[in-house]
Amino acid sequence: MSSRACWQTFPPGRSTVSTRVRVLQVFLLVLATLGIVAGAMNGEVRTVITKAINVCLQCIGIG
Amino acid sequence: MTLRRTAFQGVTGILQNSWFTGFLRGRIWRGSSKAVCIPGLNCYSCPGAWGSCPIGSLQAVFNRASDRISMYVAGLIGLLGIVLGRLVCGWLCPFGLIQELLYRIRSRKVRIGPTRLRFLKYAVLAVLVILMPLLVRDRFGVGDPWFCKLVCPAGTLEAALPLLALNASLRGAAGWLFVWKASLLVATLAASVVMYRPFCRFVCPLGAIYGLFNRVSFVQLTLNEDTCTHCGACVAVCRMAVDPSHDPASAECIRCSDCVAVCPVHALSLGLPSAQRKQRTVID
Repeated sequence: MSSRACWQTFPPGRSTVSTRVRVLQVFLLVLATLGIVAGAMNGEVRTVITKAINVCLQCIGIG
Repeated sequence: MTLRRTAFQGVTGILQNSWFTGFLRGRIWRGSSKAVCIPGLNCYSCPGAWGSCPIGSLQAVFNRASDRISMYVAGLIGLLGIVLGRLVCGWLCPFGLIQELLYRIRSRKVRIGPTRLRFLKYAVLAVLVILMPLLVRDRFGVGDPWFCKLVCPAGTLEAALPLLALNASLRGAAGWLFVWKASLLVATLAASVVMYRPFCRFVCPLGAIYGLFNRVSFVQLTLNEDTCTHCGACVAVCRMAVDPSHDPASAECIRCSDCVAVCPVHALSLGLPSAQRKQRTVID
């Protein structure tokens, strides 16, 4: 039986794709997690919350 | 399946915007939960919103005079993208639900097939969400969230209308920009009646980002080629103009699973690939 999902056939025609995409998945997962931690340490959380707890005048078409 | 998904969208949409006091008093929630981005496009100035909009937050960090890269917000969006892909659009986005509900209004429907107009959302992402907030700044070095300011109909619907209705001072300050945004909102909502999710298909920068993850996300729409008869039932039912029998991981697919439900030979499945393999074994 053969079944197809993007994680198995991308890029097409390569037999080792499944492993490669799985590695890519884990890599991106780790990268995203590191980004969250690094951004938090860089003070981005404060920026986000400062923007979010005040009425965004641009969002409502005033600013 | 459609009703189950609609119910899920409704419940999650209400949960994300359930600070009802805000709607009564014309205020927004100011608690620490606003530090976290919610998955879908949901304005953080919506009176009921508990969390932040990912696209608004991304621009807010780009706007900061001292920073040029948004690792925290990009990481949060990336984490959701790598796990779910555009499943977020199909199951968790309140503005997507609003468009779907409008599409259920009885009227003549316009069905647009695969079109290059889908690339517009990538241009919106690049220009209005990334480049302009990074590059266009005032004399103090501060930028604007240009997508929110010029385009976002979700912000107009979820934040502007309730806040302006409840605050005379805000109402008095509304000018040409509000008129422009309100016009875009009306156009989007009107288009949603005759066309399936026009904003998601052609404009939404968040959908553009999640779409980039569709090929590598953990949750996948999987096609069993041995079982598929290429009958075209999945193509006919897909309102996002995707051909699941050819490209189940298309960046346009919002994983609504309508194709899974309609497939007469159960060749399509949605979920984590490892779980799907077990399921197929049972079927076989």
